[in-house]
Amino acid sequence: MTQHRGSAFGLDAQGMSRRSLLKGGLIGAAALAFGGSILSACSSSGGGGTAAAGGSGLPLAAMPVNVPPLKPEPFLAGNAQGVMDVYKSFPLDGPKTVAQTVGDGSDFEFLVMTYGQPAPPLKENAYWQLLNSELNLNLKPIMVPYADFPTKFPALVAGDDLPEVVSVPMYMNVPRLPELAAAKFTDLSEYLAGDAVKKYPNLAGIQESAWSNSFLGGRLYGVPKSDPIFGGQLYTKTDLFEAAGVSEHPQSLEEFKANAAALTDSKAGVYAFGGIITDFMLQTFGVPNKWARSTDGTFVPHYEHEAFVPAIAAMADMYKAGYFHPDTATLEKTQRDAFFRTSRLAMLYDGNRAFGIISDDHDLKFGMARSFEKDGGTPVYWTGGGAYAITMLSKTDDAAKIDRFLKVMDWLSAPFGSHESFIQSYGAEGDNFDYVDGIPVLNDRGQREQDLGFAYIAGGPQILCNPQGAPDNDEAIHTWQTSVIPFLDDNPAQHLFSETANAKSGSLEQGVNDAIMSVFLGREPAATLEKAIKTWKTSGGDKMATEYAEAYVG
Amino acid sequence: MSAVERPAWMGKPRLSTSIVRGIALVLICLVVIFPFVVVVSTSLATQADIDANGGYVIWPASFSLDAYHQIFNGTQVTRAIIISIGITAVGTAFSLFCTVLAAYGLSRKGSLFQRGLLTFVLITLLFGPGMIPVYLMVKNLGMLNTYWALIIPGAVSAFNIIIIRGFIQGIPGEIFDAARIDGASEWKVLSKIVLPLSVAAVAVVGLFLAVGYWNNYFGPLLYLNDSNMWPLQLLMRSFVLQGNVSSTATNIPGTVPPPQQAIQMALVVIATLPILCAYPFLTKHMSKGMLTGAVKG
Repeated sequence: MTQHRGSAFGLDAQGMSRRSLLKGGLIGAAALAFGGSILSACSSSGGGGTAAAGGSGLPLAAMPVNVPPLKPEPFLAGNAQGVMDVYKSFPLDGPKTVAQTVGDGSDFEFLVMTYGQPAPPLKENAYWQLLNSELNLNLKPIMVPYADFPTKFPALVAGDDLPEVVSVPMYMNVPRLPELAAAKFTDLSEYLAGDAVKKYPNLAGIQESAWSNSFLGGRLYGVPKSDPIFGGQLYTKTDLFEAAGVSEHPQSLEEFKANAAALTDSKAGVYAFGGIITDFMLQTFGVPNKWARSTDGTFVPHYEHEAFVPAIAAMADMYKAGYFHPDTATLEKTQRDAFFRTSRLAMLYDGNRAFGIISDDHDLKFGMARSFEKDGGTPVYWTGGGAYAITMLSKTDDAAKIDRFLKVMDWLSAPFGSHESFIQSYGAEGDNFDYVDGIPVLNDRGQREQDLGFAYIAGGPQILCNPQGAPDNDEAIHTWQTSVIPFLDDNPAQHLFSETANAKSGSLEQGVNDAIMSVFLGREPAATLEKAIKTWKTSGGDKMATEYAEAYVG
Repeated sequence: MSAVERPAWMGKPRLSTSIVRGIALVLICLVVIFPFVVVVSTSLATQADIDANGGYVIWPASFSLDAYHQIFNGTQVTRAIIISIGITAVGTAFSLFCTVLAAYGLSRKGSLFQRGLLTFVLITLLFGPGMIPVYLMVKNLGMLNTYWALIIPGAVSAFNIIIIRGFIQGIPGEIFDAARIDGASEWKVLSKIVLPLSVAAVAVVGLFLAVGYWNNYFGPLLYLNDSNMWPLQLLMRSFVLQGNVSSTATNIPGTVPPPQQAIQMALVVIATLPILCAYPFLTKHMSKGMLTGAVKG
């Protein structure tokens, strides 16, 4: 069960499934005017109701039903709360989950944000050719490097040049996304809400936490790409912990600090940490996940939690004690990774997919610290948003075009073990992968040709399967995920829309983050934080709280 | 007869002064050369070397060309280099042609609307058009997804026009008068007299333009949707960015991450090399060209 924290200052612990329908649109007067009706609509599990969604005059869309897909028997089973299935190898000759022909041979232009170098051109790319053949489409990706998305996307919007299909990463915080969706993209509610999604079985396999991101102004505008619910992890370098004779799973802050002291050997250039660990410390001190909702319905930022400043002060004490690398403030990620790999950092706080990358290195033995509370009590673990991106279709009334789009999304969302999933992961035998000891292994060409961005567009729950990686790592990750499940803490504002947050949260948070860094490095006293938080509140934080409270009606 | 007084900077320095100057020069050279050494060394380093040195290598324990092999494995980088060379060559030639013509026209008193046009050009130095308006203009001209989008919008810069115009204005008016008496047309005056006398300024502006076209990644990012049309700088950017992300990167089963720093540094070497090669041939024009307009007398 999801456990919500914050009782220390009178916060309730309500779930999120209903309010997430109301992301966007339901703010200000519209929310007040329609609030009661929307509540009624929310309380019915069926399709819609009579309330207007986001002032659009349309009924609120229902959450697409979830029909878990057939899947091969996992080596270690996950669960509905987010623990990922573990497989030892990719099943061969998996069943086809999309029986009908997907495309009609036409062009399929899509915008997607990518993280690697672009794939080779179609005529040299066997993987791309295979996808075209499987989908019976002429795929035309517009790949935008992640750092350039905030520049390219507004230009395309302003020039009315958005392609037919657009994938929008959630963390990019696209300004006024609900309004943009209503103006430029197709409302897919009729095709996806409630039982309608069953026409596309693989889309029906996408879980509710991912679909929650697709509601804009109360309507379904996109197909989500699921993300693990886990936020950050504190990775531990096993050899250093064994050498120091300390546990990778401390039970209290005192033990954590004692471990850091034992692990640090500044003369040998070994430090416990190489990067600031704000989120980890806040969770250790029981600070809620960004926002908490009080019993009276008001939203309270985690900055105002009584343990916020003490958590930062404790982290600053550890820096002062010398447990952090002296260059912590300026180390780049690549440098931190290198230090961790070469046992000069004992702990590394990183995102939930870093384990996949790290675990590819056979010689690297690492663990992940389990959550703990500073005094040995019940810990907190912050969850993420449930989806990496949503993919939308440009505005059209053409039912055939909408059906073709959803068929492509259905094909892309095929579950692990299926024929479609295998094609997406490995491409063409001989050109992209070869069998080694009966296991498909991508060759150089396969790795080069894959980055068309299809991995970021649509899909259901992810799994852990890394047959060429270091042995037992997937099991270790599974064990860790299972350990934090009882302590999950959702952000109640995660799927709510606030105009102020949309426009200003980045710059406002930067002010607080700068203050945190100053306190952490010992340049300023902890009291500086209170001043920075006050500025954050008066410059927009209070308004965000009001807007979230208005948007939250479920 | 008293000894001729020489300015301080022409006097023979003392030994200690020479030593201090020498040390200072060596230190300055080291500061300049050191980053290049690190870039080249890291590009030739193995993952083990990079890890052992904390990310950047001054001198690798063992040399590896893996990064270069990976970059040139396939046709992407080769194609991007050819595209960059093409854009740089065509863009520089086109820009120089337009700039010289404009500068010549604006330097000649009596040209039609000379003062008004000059004011118009100068105003563009004060007010930039902004990204979205330029994008819309490129779109309306039908240049999206064409290489012309990288050349036409920025082909003429007011700054470059002013530099060349100033140089042309420094040419004695008697030369123009003599040419006209001999019956030379304006085109002949420009091509046979002005241009040969303005080589230094044109070379400097040409170098500025070439470096600008070579380094341009923002234009391609905005105007080119097809990644196969990307020039080297935009492709290089995607390689460089790749090493600094983990939380959202895909995980390809069964692959050990390549030495990203080595690839990034190898790309820096590849991207810098053409400029480094071209520079020595232009330095003789540089000092004269750069000083154009510095002293009025």
